[in-house]
Amino acid sequence: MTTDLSKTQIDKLGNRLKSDELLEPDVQQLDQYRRTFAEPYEHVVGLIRSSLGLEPTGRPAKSTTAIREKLHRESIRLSQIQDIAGCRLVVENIEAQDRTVENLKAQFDDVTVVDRREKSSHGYRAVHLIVRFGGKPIEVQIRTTFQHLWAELSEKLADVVDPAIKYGGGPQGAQDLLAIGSEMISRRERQYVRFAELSLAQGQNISPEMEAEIAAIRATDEQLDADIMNGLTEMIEKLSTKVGT
Amino acid sequence: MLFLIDYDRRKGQIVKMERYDDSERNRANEERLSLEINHIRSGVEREVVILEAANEASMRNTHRRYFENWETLARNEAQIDPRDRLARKQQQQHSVDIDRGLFLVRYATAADTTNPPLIGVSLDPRSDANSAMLILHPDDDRPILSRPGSSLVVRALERSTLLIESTPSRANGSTAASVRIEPLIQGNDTDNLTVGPRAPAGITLMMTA
Repeated sequence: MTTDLSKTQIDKLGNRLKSDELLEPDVQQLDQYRRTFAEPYEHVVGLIRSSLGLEPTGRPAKSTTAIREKLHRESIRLSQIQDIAGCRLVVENIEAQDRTVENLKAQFDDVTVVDRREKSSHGYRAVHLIVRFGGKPIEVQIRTTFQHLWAELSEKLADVVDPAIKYGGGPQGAQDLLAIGSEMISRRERQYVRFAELSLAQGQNISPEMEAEIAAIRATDEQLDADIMNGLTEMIEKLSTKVGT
Repeated sequence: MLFLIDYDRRKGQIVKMERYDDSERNRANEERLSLEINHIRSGVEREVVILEAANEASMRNTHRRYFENWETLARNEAQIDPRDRLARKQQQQHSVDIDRGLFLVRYATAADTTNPPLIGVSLDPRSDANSAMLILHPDDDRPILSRPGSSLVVRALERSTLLIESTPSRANGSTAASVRIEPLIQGNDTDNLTVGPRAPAGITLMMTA
């Protein structure tokens, strides 16, 4: 059942999956293709668990719906999709995210890092690692709690309001919510990075201005997190009234 | 643990969720395919996916979209008291320095004994990866202590830093627990009797809720 299909067969299957009608034999062949990722997936996720003591949630095979959408949305062939199998880690903050990325990179021989934090994809910010094992790509998503909250919100809005929302389309209110939310989180995380830099410098000869900056960030740290949540909640309530759900 | 989820995107609701043990992977895959085929035959559009996690609480956290409304996603997070969020950042994870030697990491107590938090043990990534090794029970493949009384061994070849992390075993569960790190000795002169610079007889880490 896990016999490898040729690249041509895979891409022909991808073309058929793009059509409006989904046929049973195509789903079966797609399943055959997806199962060829099982061993690399288990190796990569197993190593993350055993060597790093992390607890990712694995998704051994991308859903048919999500594959078809991706084929429709992007000029990509089925054989080029990098996230057929993968897993997700949610970590507390950007410092833990950096640490986790470095640690993961050290575990695998063939890793490509896709850092979407500075240059987001329609507001989506995270770090993805593409680990190649046994000739197959396995995607490892690493998100901070805030990045994750934003991503889940975007996905859920795309599910129930308009699928275009995930890619910068859909109702203006939803677009604004996600754009402003993403920027708020980005700003907060940049501040966190700055705080980490200052903390590292503390104890050495740092200027009174830097000391004052550290004190100011410390004093407002918990409030800033709460402000993001409250800001998002407020925008969501406004949008909820407009959308009428 | 594996979860087979049948999700109605338009309604934003899970229609069905089945749970499988890790050993039932093939059965879960077969049932996923069978469900997809049934949906095609009956003209139903659904997202059918298998997720794999240590427990349901972890899966619900990493895939909140399946379980929560968009209106409540941020509100649920916002309702966490800022002091608790800060405490969570500071207290869920402890790092402890260990010197060269053999150590027992023992899950001592948990505030919630019915659903005790999971205690993860790992080597701080900033330590040399070869500086210490976690020795697990032959039937375990993850350095996770699941309940008080469970333990694992760390063999440190040089000074290293361990990260001890407490994670709730269910949504909004407790992380309050204590973990004891004790040196194991064979009685030779070369045995190192210290754990960290100030704790010659072992230390106890307290994790708060």
